[in-house]
Amino acid sequence: MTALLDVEARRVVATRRQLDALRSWALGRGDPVDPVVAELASAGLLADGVVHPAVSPVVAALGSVVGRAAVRRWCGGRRPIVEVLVGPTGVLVLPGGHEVDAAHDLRWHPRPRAVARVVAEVLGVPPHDGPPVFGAGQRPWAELVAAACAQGGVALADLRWSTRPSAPLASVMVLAWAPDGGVVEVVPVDRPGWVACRPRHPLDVWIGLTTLCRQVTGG
Amino acid sequence: MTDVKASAGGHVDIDLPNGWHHTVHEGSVAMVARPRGWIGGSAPTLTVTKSRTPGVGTLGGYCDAQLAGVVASVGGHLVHLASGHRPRPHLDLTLAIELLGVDLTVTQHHLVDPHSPEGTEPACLALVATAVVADHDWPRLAPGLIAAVRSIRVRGT
Repeated sequence: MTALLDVEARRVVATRRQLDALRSWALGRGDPVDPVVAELASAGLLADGVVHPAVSPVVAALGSVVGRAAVRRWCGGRRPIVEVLVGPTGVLVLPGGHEVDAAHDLRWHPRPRAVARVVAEVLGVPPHDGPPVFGAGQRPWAELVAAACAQGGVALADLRWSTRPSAPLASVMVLAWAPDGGVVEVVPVDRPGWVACRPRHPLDVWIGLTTLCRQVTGG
Repeated sequence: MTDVKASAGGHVDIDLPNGWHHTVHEGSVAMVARPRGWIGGSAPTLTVTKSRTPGVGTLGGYCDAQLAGVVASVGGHLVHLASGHRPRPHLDLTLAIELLGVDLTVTQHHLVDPHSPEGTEPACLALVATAVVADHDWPRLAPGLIAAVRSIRVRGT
C-alpha cells in the first residue's frame, strides 16, 4: 500500500503498519532497512530521515492517546470500523477499519475538545426528528443489522468507548435511524441477543456525546 | 419573564470589502445575557436579535437562506434542524462549531414572520434567540438554554 502526503490538500493516507513505523521512527526506534520505512520515505512522510512537519501532529496524537472510540456502522451493508483517538495534542480519525494494511485517509483536529463534533460527524445522525425508525417492541439484534444491511437507507451505529488507553472498548451508545431522521437508541433487554428501541431526539444524542467526551477531555 | 427591548437603533454605516454584500438587512441586537459570576472561560451567552431577510417571503425560503448562510459562514456540524408553523412559524437550529479555538454548541430559535405583499418585495422578519455554550458545558446547561431560547415571544402574543 502506497502512503500519500499531499500538503496542499492537507491529506495524509497511510496504513496502521505505516503509522506504527512512523511513530517508531519518531521515537528513534525505526529500522532504516524496514521496507515500510522505505514506503514512508517514498511518500514524503519521512524527509531526510525526519518525520515531515505536516505529519508531526498525527504522530504526536498517536503517541499520547488518553481515550479512544470505535464506531461500528451498518448502512446498506457493513461499513469499515472508524477509530477515533483522543490525546492532548488533538483528535485523530482512522476511517479505514482495523486491518493493518487498510488505507486510512486520516483526519486530525488540533483540540481534544473537538472530539464530540468529530464523533458526531463519524456517526452521521441526521438532524431531523421524526417517527422512530423502529417501534418500541423487543426484537432480535440481528433483525436491526439485517434492516441496516438492506438497501432501504436504515443506518445502525455502535459507538464503543474507552476513557483510558489500556481499557477495553465498550458499547456506550447504539443508535439506528432512517435517512430522514427517526433516531432510536438501541438498548439491551433481559433476553440474550434481543434489544429494545427508544426514540431519541437529535439533541438527546448531542447531549449524550458531549457528556461522554467530558470524560475524556476533563470538562 | 425578560423584557426584550430594541437597542439604540439608528442606521449603521460600514465600508465592506469589494465584492461583499449584506445577507441580512436591518438587524439589531435586542438583548445579550450571560450568567453572573461565571467561573472559567467561554461563558455561555444568550443573544436576541431582530432581523429582516429581504427577497424571502416564506418560512421554507427563510430556512433555506439560514442554512446557506450557516454553511457559508461558520460551517460546523448540524446537530438539529426543525421548522414548523405552530403555534407560529419558527425555525430551530443547533450547530456544533469551532470558533477562535473553542468548540461550541450554538442553539437557536427563530420566530419568523413571512411577508409577501403583492407588488412589493417579499421579506421575512425574525426574532432570533441564540444560545452559545462551550461543548463541555453543554450537557449541564442544555435543558435550561433550550427552554430559554424557545421561550422567546413577542409580548402580547
